[in-house]
Amino acid sequence: MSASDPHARAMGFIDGELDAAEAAEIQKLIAADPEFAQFIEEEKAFKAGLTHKLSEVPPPTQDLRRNFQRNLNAEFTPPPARPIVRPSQFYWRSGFAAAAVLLIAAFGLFELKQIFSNECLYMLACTEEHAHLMNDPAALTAKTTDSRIATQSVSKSIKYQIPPVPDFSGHALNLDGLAKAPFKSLKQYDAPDGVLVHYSGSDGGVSVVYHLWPDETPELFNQRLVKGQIYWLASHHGIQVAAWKSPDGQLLTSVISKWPLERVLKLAEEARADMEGRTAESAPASGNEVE
Amino acid sequence: MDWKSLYGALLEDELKRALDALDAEHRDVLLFTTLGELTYKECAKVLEIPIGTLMSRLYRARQELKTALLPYAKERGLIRNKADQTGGAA
Repeated sequence: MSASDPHARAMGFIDGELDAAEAAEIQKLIAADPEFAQFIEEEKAFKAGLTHKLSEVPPPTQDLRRNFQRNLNAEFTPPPARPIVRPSQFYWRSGFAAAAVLLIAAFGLFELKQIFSNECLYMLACTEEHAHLMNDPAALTAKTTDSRIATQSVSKSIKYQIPPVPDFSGHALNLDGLAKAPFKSLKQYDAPDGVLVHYSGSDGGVSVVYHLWPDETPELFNQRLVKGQIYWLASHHGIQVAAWKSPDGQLLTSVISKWPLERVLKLAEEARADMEGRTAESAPASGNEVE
Repeated sequence: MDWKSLYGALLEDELKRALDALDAEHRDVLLFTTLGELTYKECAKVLEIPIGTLMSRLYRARQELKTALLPYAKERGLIRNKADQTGGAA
């Protein structure tokens, strides 16, 4: 079907998207064809109901439309680097390196060096390729046992400027049973009030979204995820968000939480020590995992 | 079909399930134009499709969603038989 179909063009008429000449054509059809006129009225009622129903979801905390509009013309704009408070030179360097190791090992972000500055408030593991599992509990259970996806996601809060890092390609970490598949591409969307970062998965189909809106609260994020707005946002920008269902049919959303910086530092130190203990060299062996 | 009554009675999860049941391309267009405040032109640019295709997908999405919502309408007694399903606007 093409837009030559009057029913399709009627969508534009109802939404006020047709120019004057096109709208006039639809008006003629309405006047000449009672069934078509009835179709228009029903479509209007249908759209009004749907719009109202969807509008019950609390709006995002910022102007999404403005963000999207910006991103239409700018695929990727690195955010400006931000100064970081350094408790001490030694602490800074070790913590810095350890954080990088932890991040790389943890999330398999091969292109992490593309991120010049990051304040990662939320991380959400997700997969589009596994969407069909929503309606297949048995398959979902089977999938979760291979550690590539979990029935629940986690989020981290990490505030670091990421330096150039060694190439850890081929390595991934089974973090909280979350994701084990390496990531192979990255898209970053610069927004006035934050950054959306999307890492698309490889064979595991796992994606990670860093959702960087300072005003976003975990509660609102979860609420929007449940009600579809995040899913909608994601689906239109190459960002997939988890919306899995558990075997008992319950919709699982992410557990959005922030980790205190102190905890991140502690984990980073532990990860660094662990990595140093495993390898004398900088690059770990293939298949290395850190848990 | 009394869409106003149906939407009023519809649970959010039921609507989400119905939306999830749509063809992905159709759902994208529907949500983008209904919820996203984007114009057809903007939406078409993001999705990299002609506006005519967008309108076609939108039409199909709305018809698919209506079909997906019919069981809920039946459950609530808002529709009694197949003849009613095509009985026109409320």
